[in-house]
Amino acid sequence: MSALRRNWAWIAATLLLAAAVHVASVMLTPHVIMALTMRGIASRAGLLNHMVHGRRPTAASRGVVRPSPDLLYSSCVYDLSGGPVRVHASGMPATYWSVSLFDADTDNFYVVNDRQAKTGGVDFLIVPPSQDRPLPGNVVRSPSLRGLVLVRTLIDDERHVAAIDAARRHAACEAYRG
Amino acid sequence: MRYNGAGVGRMRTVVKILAVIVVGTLLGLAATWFSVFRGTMAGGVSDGPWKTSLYAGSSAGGPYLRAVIAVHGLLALNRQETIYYTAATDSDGAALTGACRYEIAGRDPPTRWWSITAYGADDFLIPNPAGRYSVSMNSVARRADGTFIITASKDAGGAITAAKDAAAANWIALGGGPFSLSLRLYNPAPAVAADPAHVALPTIRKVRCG
Repeated sequence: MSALRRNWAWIAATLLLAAAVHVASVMLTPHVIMALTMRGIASRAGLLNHMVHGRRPTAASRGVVRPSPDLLYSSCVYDLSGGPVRVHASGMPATYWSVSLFDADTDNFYVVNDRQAKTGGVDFLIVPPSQDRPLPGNVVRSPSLRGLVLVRTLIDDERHVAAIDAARRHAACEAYRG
Repeated sequence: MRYNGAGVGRMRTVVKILAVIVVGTLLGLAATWFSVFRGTMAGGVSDGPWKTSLYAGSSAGGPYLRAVIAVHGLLALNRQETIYYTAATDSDGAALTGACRYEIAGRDPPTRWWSITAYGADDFLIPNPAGRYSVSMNSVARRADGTFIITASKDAGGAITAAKDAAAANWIALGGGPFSLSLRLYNPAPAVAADPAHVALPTIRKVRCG
């Protein structure tokens, strides 16, 4: 007991540091996981603001845990430091598909699917949080300068895999020069 | 602190500071490990052996929830878009293992599209020569009354030889070790998204082991 009383300041310092390390590591976790995921995808793409059309998941796939073998995943790491990025897809296949946006902290801040996209596709600009110049068309504001566009396309018929795969390759991502 | 001479006293202080840094850092990281990385997703609800989280794919409100989602549900969609159920046990509560053969029985859940997929302990698809990773709404063979029985087993065995093409369609290949199942509902009926704990989901029955 006397040892405790004698060392209370050291014990308090240890607990304070533990609390600070705990809070910092919890807050950094999403950012680090997302940064690693984006780095992996961007390295496969070779560049930013470019859509990569991943192959159909198999037992050899190691990109993201628990991939669905019934979906085709296309992804694009965007970087808004040079201005808005345009995401567009027309002529998408007549099956379930969705375009979802995730910020640098993993938040899913936007999603649109085939039924909501009445024109059979999508066309919008991702703009940086600080964007104030009005832009034409649909605009989605990203909370962070970097993030991920993920396009899921459902293989609803094994006989049409090739056609579905070809059609989902219409989904694209590029730096906007308006 | 007793005074034992300046050198020894300073030495002790340095050792104590180092101890504070090491122990404090380890305690902090351990707390993060237990609260975020270990265990399962927050906001969990279950429907028989099937578990899901009300928070998957949500724009999380708070650093803990966001960290847990990043670890356990990275890049997941929200509940209106897709509901992800996971089963690590059969309907009797016994852990799923590739050493046993299972029958997944039920009828189509109220959703635009569904699939059931098996994953190994590493959370990746289980290697198998036939590439039978999942059974879905389009590939499942139903009986006249609309119900289906899907076999999950290491070897096709009865699933393929016992019957015709219909039974062959209803087979998910397993490895030898522990596994889990994902049940995905795409664009589920609004009632399912509102209350994912009370949906008529398939049962998972252990048929035999070894």
